[in-house]
Amino acid sequence: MRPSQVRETIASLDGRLDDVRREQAWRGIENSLDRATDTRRAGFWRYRYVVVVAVLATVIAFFVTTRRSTTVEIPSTELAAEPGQRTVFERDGVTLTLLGPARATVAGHHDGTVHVNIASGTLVADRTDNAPGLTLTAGSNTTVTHDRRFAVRVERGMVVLGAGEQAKEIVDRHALELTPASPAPVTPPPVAPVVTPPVAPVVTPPPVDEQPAPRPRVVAPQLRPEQHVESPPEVREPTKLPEVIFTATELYRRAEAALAIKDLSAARTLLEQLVRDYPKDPRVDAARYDLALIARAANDSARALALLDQILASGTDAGIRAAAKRLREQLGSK
Amino acid sequence: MGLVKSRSAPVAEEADSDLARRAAEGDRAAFESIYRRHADRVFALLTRLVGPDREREDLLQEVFIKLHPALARFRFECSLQTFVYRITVRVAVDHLRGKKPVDLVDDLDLDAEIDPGLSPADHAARVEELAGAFALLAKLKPKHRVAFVLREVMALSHDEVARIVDVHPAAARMRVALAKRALARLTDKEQR
Repeated sequence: MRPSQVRETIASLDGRLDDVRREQAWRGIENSLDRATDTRRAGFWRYRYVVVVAVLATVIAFFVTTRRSTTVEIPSTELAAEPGQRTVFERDGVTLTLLGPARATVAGHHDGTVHVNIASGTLVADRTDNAPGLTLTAGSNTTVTHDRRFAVRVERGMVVLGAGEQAKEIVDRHALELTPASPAPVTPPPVAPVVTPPVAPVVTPPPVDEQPAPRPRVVAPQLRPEQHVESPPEVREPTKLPEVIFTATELYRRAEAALAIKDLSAARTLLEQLVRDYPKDPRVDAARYDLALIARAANDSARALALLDQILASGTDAGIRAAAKRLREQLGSK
Repeated sequence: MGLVKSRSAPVAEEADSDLARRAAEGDRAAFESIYRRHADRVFALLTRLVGPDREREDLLQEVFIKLHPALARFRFECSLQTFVYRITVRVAVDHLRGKKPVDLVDDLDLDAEIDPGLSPADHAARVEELAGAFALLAKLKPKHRVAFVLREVMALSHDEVARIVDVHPAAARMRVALAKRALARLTDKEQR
């Protein structure tokens, strides 16, 4: 059954409410409303003292809480892990694991997310269901995630991100053996870029902020010429890491999630990445249309018109082209 | 002969906004007017969202039971119909989430929706058609199912869909697109 057939079948349903059922439903509604009113009256009279105390407690709590800052802040914490080590940091149901050598900073708590800036190395973030989301920054890349498990790897200015299975792949391919984690957050001494011979080779990257904005790709770790390291038998041969960070499907899904929470800025970033990295993906027309809607919401008619013109010039989706034409006419007439 | 009051001149219908205000203040008659004005549309929307479910009448009551206290919070940022539809969609989604996908089809009273004048063969074909359509819809996420029904079946604009489900129009458009894509994949899988 094609989607159009599904649509026609559902549309063919009568859905008519006859007089008898309409009246029965109204009687049921009236009874419920009457019961609710009686309960409210009886409850109030019986528990009037409880209500008075509750009101007083609310008023007191209001005055107490308005003295506090409305922005929940946690102090910034510097994290680091030596080569071959891992550091675990926990906060509010979020567990951050640094796989050394690695450095990161857990910054203040804004807008319900925990901000983490990864300078180098590999970070794995595990969230419980009720934990706040994460805003992860690596170089010029910033992503917001509410995934249960998410991993980021920064090496030589390249950034690899992944959730779920991709995160597992990033962790699996991490070239170091981990020692048991230290339970408390660590304020580290400066990390020297030195590779210890018994450990599998890792090159400490230069500071991320000196790198140009990277197009996401990854490279296998390389040996320094003066070192000859025997790979421990349990370490796999370095295999080629995936060439993409997010698939088009993942970008589109994340953009939808961002739009659902009205984070237009994040949605715009994700959709622009989809258009840029997957120019031949069939969702590009839809992504451009959504970007046009976002631009319209930001009162940027020029950008919206430019995006719509791109769809009309080269779009392949007839439905999107028709919608783009209508929207262009609306914007053009203002 | 006494005067006969003429009833031929139509009485202007009270606006939804006035009824809503009076109902919020506790006027039961005003709330009943709202019910009588919107019940058919709500029932039709529920039928398309959840199918001819045996619990539809209960869901209809639930919509208006929830609407009554919500009118006190209604600030006329949208039409009353949109507000009622918004509550209807939430009730429908809660209902869809509370059931297993197989029950979403098994609990449908498909016979009630079929013309009794059809021949047995046509009747059976129609039952199969309806069951097939709802079995596919049952595999969609509720939010995608809702977007698909509002946009594709009820032909509402993306802006209207967005207002009803309270998301950005781009998100509404995306949900419709994802629903259609998911349905296309499901139908492709069926045909193999």
